[in-house]
Amino acid sequence: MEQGGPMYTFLVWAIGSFFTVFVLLVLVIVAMKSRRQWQESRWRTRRAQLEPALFKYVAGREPLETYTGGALDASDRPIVEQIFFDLSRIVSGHVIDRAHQAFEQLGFVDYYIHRLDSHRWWTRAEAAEKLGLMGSRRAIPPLVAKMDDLIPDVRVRVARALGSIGSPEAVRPLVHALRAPGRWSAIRVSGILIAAGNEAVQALLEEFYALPMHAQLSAIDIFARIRSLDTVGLLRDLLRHEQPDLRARAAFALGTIGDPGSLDLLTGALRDRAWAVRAMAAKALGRIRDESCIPALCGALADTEWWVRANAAEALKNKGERGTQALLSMLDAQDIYAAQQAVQMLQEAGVLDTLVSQLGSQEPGRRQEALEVMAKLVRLRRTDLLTEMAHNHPESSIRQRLSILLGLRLSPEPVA
Amino acid sequence: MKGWTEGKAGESWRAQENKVMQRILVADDDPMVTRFLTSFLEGEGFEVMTAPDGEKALEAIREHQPDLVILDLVMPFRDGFEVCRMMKSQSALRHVPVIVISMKEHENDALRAFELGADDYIRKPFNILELLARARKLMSRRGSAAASGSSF
Repeated sequence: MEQGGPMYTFLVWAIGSFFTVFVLLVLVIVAMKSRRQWQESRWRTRRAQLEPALFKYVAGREPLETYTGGALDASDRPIVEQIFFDLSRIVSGHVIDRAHQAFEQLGFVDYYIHRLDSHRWWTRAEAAEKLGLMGSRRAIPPLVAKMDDLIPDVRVRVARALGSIGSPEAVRPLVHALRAPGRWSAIRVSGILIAAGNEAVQALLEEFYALPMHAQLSAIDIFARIRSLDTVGLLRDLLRHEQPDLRARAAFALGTIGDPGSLDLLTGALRDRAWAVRAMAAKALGRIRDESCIPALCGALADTEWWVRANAAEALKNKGERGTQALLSMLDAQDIYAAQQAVQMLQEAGVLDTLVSQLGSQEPGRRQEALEVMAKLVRLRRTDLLTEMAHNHPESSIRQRLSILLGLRLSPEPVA
Repeated sequence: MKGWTEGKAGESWRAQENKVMQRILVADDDPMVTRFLTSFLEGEGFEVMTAPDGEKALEAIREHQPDLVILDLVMPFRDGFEVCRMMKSQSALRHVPVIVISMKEHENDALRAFELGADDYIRKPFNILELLARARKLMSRRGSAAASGSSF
């Protein structure tokens, strides 16, 4: 390539252009970074200036201007917002009410209500989120109008905002949203209503019988999560509903709430014709601190459905010493399924491990008690645990007794 | 001579001119908490010190012997449990009342703090008037105990 030729000129031009673009990019990046650092520094400085005044405002009773001297301008909006939002993480009560008053007074609520109509979906979504954080009841009608927004992210943030505001007018549209599973995820709406707490309970109780069944099921799940005693009356009525799904969910919810007054109804539900209802009733009885249902749970161990038996055994395990004794007594049950379920639960609860250790007791009575239970396990052919203990238990006397019981010829030392 | 004005409930009272201000230590790694509580408690007439972690909290407690410690449980270097345990194991610091702050979800943390000797607890987000009332109650009990010569 000769100097001065066209190829040489092209290369010089190309390298020069590339170098120029590179330098320009570096300068742009440095300028943007400097600008960002300057903005952050200004933000920090301005925040340090505003914080003391705003802290005094939220703790006091006077109007905002008393503390700020009217020295706020439009550029302070994001800083003031952030200070109040940060406060809402750590404090509650009248401080938050004062912050909400400031949002109204400074025009932030109007600003974001206006932005709800933006043609940019991310602007609408952000506006909805901020209105929720501001807790403005005045924003409820425009937020409700946005529940039909075409963009799912906007709708979700609107729903969350209404849940955050939490007043009856805000919660009711969310209850209605449960009717439209094609548009609203029931799980998401349920989560928002659960976070709204008692306001959601009241709204759901008022509208319950007007909801379609899928929404009623969601409502019952919400009652179970919130665990409000206000719902007990409705849930008890639902235990007699013609729909088995509703009966089953109601039983589960009563167990989660732990209402002891529902014990008789739940015990009766152990005889329901639908196995799902029987299973949920057994689960619920395990969560209620009352031992009077132990005989009924023992009867449920002989249910034809595995899930009912499993839940009944789990419930007995949760009933303390009396429940454990009931499970041990089921080892003699005529029903082989009941006996097997009892063995399974005793093993999971560690009762069998305890009884194996009891074989090494110095008291003959305790050893005999343990041997009797072991013999029942052998009769039921549930010897896997006993065989393992016969090989591996650290006490030789226990290994010897187990090997005699099982008819095994084992080495004198435990197998690793 | 009275140096305070009696007003409506919730209004701050001013310390008497010749009265030593009661000293509160706020130990929390969240700067927002320390800044806000400093502003609020100073407005209520207290002298406020802050510590961003457990180690500095212990140093401040040993050096300044505050009248009350508001202690976050989750902090770097030494957590609130460790600070509480060490305070209550030292005779000079045992009588300093402690209010622990815990997150709402961590209910068992508060129980553990009580076992280690904390005097009260409050959950975030907390009501500052409630915190103030509890703080005053603990400090007045400590003051009464000191005046009567009994242990607190």
